Amino acid sequence: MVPNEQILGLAAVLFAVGAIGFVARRNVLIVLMSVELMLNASNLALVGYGRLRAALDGHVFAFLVIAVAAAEAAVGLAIVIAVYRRRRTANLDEVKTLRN
Amino acid sequence: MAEQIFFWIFGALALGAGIFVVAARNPIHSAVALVFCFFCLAGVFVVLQAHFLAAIQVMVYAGAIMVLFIFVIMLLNLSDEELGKTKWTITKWLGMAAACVVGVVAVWATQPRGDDEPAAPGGALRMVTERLPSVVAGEEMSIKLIAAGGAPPYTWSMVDASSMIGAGGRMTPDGQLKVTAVKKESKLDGLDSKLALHVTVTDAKGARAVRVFSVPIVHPSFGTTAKVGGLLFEKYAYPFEIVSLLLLVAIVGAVVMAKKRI
Repeated sequence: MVPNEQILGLAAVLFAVGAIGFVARRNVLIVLMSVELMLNASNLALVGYGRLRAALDGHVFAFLVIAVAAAEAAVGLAIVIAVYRRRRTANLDEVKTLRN
Repeated sequence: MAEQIFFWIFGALALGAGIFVVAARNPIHSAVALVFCFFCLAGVFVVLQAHFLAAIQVMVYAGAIMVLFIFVIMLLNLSDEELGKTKWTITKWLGMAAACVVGVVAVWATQPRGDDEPAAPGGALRMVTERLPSVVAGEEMSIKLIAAGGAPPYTWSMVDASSMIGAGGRMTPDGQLKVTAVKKESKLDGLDSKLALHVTVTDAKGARAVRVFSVPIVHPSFGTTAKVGGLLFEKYAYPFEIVSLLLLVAIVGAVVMAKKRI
């Protein structure tokens, strides 16, 4: 049986990698992928705790997180396409105002 | 032991792929690395007995979400000029430093440390261990219980009050507890089946402290579609419906957003 500390440690490192990508990269698509990475790290932590307590509630929460991530990716990518149509850019630094 | 080896193989691959996602310049390289990372995480889920989630991870994440990403990347077909040059401003360095600090603190907070044991020897005899982790059916778990206060040395004893055949614990007088659960699942053993262990610690002066530990058992059916689905449609039926509504709203929102003129 894998000790819970190792599962949580891996989840924490994965989350930190995603967080670094979120703040350091300026390409919208890679920023969205970093968010997916962080969501996966949280899923791993939920599964780890579910196993520690032998309770399946963690699996259900991870399932709901996956469903919400799918909705987030759909809306986020639609926004990316809408912004690209108007501005011809995918660089977050160049998208500063809400209008036009 | 094999579990731990596979956990770290898949975990290290997922971590390496995750770093490549963040570091790669070309978004397509990032996306492919992210697909690989999701597959490795599905492997980790299998090791952790989350079979249903592993299947969902491959189907929804690696299948649906990443196809959407790659589709959008190819639709935009970004040139180097449109990708833009990364400007390293002071706020970006601060953000990266903050993210690194968050990671280090999170790892530090999850790791066990020796200073958890209270140093103060005084006070009445008490048991420091408050809770035991779950035990996997068919495996033996060995754990050292800790007491404080009173007059050491301590003598430990345990009575197994659970009525499960072939399961139970053994305890040595120095506080080493070994718990086993048989790998045979009858219809009566639901998810909630637990071992109840009445542990007593006695110090040199005859003072006693008693605590009942309930040890949850991870059965072979843990994490299968039947069990997770049962929980999803009974206890969590309401959140499940709300998520379906959220997905509907997201579909409508995405369609409206992607129209030619907003």
